[in-house]
Amino acid sequence: MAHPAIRLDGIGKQYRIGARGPLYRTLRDSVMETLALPMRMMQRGRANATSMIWALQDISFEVPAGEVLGLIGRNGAGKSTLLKILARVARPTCGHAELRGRVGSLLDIGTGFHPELTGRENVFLNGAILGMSRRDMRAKMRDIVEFAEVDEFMDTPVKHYSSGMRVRLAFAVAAHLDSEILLADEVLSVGDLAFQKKCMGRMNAMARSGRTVVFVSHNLAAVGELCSRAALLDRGRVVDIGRSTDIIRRYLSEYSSVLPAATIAPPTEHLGVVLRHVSLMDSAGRPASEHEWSEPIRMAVRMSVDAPVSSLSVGVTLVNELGVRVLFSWMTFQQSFVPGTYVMDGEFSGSALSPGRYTVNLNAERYGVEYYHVAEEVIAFEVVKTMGEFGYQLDEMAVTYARVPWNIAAVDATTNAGRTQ
Amino acid sequence: MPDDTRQWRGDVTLIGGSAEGLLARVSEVWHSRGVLGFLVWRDLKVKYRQTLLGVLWAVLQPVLMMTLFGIFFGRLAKMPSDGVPYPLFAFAGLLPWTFVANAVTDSGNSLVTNPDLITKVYLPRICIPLAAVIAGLVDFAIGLGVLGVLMMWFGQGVSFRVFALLPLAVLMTMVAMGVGTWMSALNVKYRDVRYALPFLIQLWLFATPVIYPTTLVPARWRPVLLINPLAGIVDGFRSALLGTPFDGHAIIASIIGTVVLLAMALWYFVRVEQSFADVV
Repeated sequence: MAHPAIRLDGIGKQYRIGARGPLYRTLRDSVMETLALPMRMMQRGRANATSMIWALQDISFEVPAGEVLGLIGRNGAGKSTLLKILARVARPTCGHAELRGRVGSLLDIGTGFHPELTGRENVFLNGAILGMSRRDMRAKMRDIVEFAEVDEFMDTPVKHYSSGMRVRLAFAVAAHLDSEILLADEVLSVGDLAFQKKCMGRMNAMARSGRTVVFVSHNLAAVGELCSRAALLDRGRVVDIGRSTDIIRRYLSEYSSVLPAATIAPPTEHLGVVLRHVSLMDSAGRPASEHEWSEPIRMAVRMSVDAPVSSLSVGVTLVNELGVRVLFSWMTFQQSFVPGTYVMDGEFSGSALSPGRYTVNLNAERYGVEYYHVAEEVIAFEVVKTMGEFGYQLDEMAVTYARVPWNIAAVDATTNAGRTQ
Repeated sequence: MPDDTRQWRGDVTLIGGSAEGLLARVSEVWHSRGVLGFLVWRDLKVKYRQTLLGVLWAVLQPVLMMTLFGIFFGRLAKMPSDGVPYPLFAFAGLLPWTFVANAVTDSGNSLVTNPDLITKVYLPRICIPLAAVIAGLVDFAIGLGVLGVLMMWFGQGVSFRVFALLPLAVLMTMVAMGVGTWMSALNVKYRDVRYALPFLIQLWLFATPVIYPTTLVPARWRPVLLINPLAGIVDGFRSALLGTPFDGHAIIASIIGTVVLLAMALWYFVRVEQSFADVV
């Protein structure tokens, strides 16, 4: 067997966490501490030892050349840290790794972009930083410009770009990175919806081009689609690695809470509307996390509006155990919202869903303009079928079920009673 | 296809362990000289974007300093200047000094002002402060041109000594790289270095014979002055340009001082750079 493209051997990463605040210090602190040292030594040993945590521990696996591996896990599981180590941005505390092939890393897009430089200049700069050669960039400039759709602005300083244009240009450079090993972190979630689709298509093409890819994403459907294998991380350890569909199933079943209500983690950036809380009920309004197949499912989402907004759209996506988005529901409220707390509620027809477990993604946005809050895997519920309407195992047939009041009528039938015998 | 288990010929990246020797680092910087070039190019592009203002500033800064020094130290304080007109004397000293002061400030702050280059991508980090120093050389060249004009104005001729400018400029760049990379690394670790730096540079100005000639310092204190590697370099510049007495000992002290400084700075940088991404 050929050498794997990536081999990790006992990688561990320890971070200092502080009651001490930020990790960098000031000279003043150091000087004062040194002066105070004899005093503290007299008082009592090391009362306030700095506490260390392992962000990653004992990570060992291999990625064969040409494989697309997804890293999944909850926030703080260590996915990004692991990617940073592979990208050599962070250094492991112990263990080692070996990467065979030219490595390109996309931990972020637009690294090194300078607002005073023109689009073209930034493409060259960013490309150089990502490790492209000048010749490569010249050859690809056309494609990059075309992809980014910023043709007429290439000689305008980037500071005059809209944020959408900047993001498109940055992604376009990244998307044309031509390395044998690609390390990518959440680069799918950029731009407006149309551009996201384009990015996804490009990622797909990159994944299928035979290079080795390690891909971190919260978007399970993307992982399912792009990756042949996936590794599941939990609290700094690889708990499972295998076929991506299996790993996604395990992740969804073990790591999302099947409770009738859940608080939603706040967004990294407050943009006006924040989804706060979600709860599930049966048709009678009782909290429930398990729903009978034929019964409606009620959902209530509480959100807070921090700044006045003129229009709000909320989307609800249900994801099944395979990471497939099976159902999407969406509503635009064309009214002005003054700051305050709002509750949106509504009812799903339960019978649309085959029995199984579903995870809920929510997003609040100003349609087509910007996202306020994208919250994934906020809650999970089970659809069960205890009362049989008929004998099929629904989930064996299809992922959704349509209750259609079918009619039947004879158009050409012989009325001969004798024939039936 | 033959079994390629043993003969992989492409790039191999080793992470962790003892894979990061000094030799490997040097070759790494050499391989990423393209990025280094681009970082310099970026700094220059941004600085000279408004061409006139950029160049004008490069001319104005030393000229204004020279005028100020000329008035206060030359005229009012009657500072001796080794027999050349004081404005020329001051300018020849200010030329390397302004370069070193600006380069050290820029490169000292280069890492903390470019956190993305550390946390989002891997490139040999030393390229970042080095690029800031190299970009400063353009200002230096412009200043040199201004000095040429001034020398013609004052009717100051040059001798063959002018060829010493090149090695002196190299030495000056090495001093700036040494202090600059050191400060940049310290700045990541201790955030108040940023505030201490201007003050340190001011002290350094007084420890360097920019305003005053070395001959003003009593002979028994001169060895102390030579601890500062920039002292011999500034004297060397004057000697090369204006023909003031040349002190071989001072230059040798400078060369030794510069090499030691640069080696220590690089050693420190390599030692702490591993933890940059965790801290920035």
